[in-house]
Amino acid sequence: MTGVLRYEWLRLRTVRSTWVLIAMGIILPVALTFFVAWSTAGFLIEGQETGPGGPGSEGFAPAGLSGATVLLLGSLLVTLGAAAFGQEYRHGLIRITLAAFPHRNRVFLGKTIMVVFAVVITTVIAIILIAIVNNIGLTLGGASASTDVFGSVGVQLRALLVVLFFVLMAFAITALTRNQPLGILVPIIAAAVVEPIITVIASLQDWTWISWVLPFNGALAAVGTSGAEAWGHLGVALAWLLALLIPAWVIFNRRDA
Amino acid sequence: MILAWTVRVPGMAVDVQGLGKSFGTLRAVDDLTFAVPDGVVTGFLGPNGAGKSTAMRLMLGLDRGAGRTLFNGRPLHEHPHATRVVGTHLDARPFLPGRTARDHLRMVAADANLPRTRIDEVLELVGLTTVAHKRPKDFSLGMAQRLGLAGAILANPSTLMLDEPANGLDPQSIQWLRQFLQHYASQGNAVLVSSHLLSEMQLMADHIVVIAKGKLVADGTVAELTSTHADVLVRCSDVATLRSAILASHPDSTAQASGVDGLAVVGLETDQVGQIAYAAGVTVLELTARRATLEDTFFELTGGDQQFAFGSVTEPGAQTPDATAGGAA
Repeated sequence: MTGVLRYEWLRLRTVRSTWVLIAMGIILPVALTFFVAWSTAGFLIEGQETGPGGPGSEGFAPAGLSGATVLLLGSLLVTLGAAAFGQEYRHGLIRITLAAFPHRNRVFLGKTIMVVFAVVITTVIAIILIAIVNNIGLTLGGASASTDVFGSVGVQLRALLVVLFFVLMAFAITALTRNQPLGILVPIIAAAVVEPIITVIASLQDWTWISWVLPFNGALAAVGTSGAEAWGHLGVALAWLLALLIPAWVIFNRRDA
Repeated sequence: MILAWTVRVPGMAVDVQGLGKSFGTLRAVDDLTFAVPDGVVTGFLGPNGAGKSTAMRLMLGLDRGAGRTLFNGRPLHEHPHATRVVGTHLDARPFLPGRTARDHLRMVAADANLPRTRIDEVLELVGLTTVAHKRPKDFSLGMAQRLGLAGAILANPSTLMLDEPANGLDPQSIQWLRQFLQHYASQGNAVLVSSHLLSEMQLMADHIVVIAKGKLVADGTVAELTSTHADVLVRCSDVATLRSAILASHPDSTAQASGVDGLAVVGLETDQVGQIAYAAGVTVLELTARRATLEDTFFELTGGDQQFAFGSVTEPGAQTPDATAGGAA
């Protein structure tokens, strides 16, 4: 197993695109957070400190995390998940990998572990920087700096899990289809386009339950809500993830390389 | 530079037992059984679509199918470090275009705990030292083949499996590859090479396995295969008398007319034919032992078994008899 992990670690770190994605995954959400904090600081001065996104809610400031920030972070990092299998099938490397490591379960597990590792490190760094930059942006915008820079651990943990969910969905979709572009695009388009449209239509029909069963919508809702409701959304997202990850694992074991 | 990195354990070989694989209704590999002995280069031959690549993938467990392959007496997945057991080069460009050649080899070597110098050693061996830190997206086919070979031999495995490794190589590189593989095999390793370059394979391989339509059609040394299809050409003063004498003395042999005054005799050596002619009072004008080339043998063994056969070739502008007849009418 250590051989597989070493192989996967080298696979990840020896391509430039990994570092570009990680850098973008940190810089862009941090920049977005700073811009939002700085431009909305004026509203906070006027006393609009409650409601979604206000400093009083667990789901936003002072940590600076929002559904939009997490969606951006997740969308930038999905390529790391999709590339785990996508690069190998696209360039014929999978045959080298499986000839070197004939135990396919270990290869699947090794890829999963290394993708999770890279995403956790990147996301934790991003979350810390987002919290710091959020506070700086608020201060520069004229609002008083919060003494609680990092806010709730719960919302940060859920943000991390939601980003992981995005990346592992891309990982599973690519493993199932052997198609890297599909693995990248499906989570992004589903989260940013398809599911919001479905949610709007469902709300017009008063079918509020639909927003609960949509995978990406539910996952992002876990960042904007709190308590049992937030963890409930994450539970639904986990069910979706397992529904794709388990078949991906089974098919990877059975199909021709 | 001669490769000698670890001491070989003699007796290692590959046993292929009853491999089978279908794609829909097409039986790509059908109950294929053969052995790849150590110490020699084994050529794996067959027409396009014969099932060579599928068979190699089945041997490695890359494709799912029937049968099993034992490397040194055990399936590949039972060896703790597969890269030390078998080195493979199955695709022409099996690497990420954006990863440098050296990093590609570092990744391939991840499981084998190789010393750092080993990668430089192999890069020097295949002549890629100057491009070690370049991304292989612009590599020629020949350079890509060298990098693939470097990956295969990196852990100095006891078995090499190479699918068309000479494609894209210039004559000097092909000669180097031949010498390298023969030397590698002589160290007690098993080397299985599939190729369409029959004349090259005749020079390179000692042992040949031929398959057609997924089935084994020949398995033996080059000398055995080519001698099976050898004959003796005899030109003489009286073809009919000599033919009768040959068939009377050796009923198992065959003697077919060849030209105006010649016979092609199969099943006898030149000295036997000469003695029969002398005894029959026939004057011999020419007596030649004709060895079949591997190409002759290959065509004889696999004739008509090509999966994707070509159409017939006609002279440019020539009309077919039917077209001529139609035009005349």
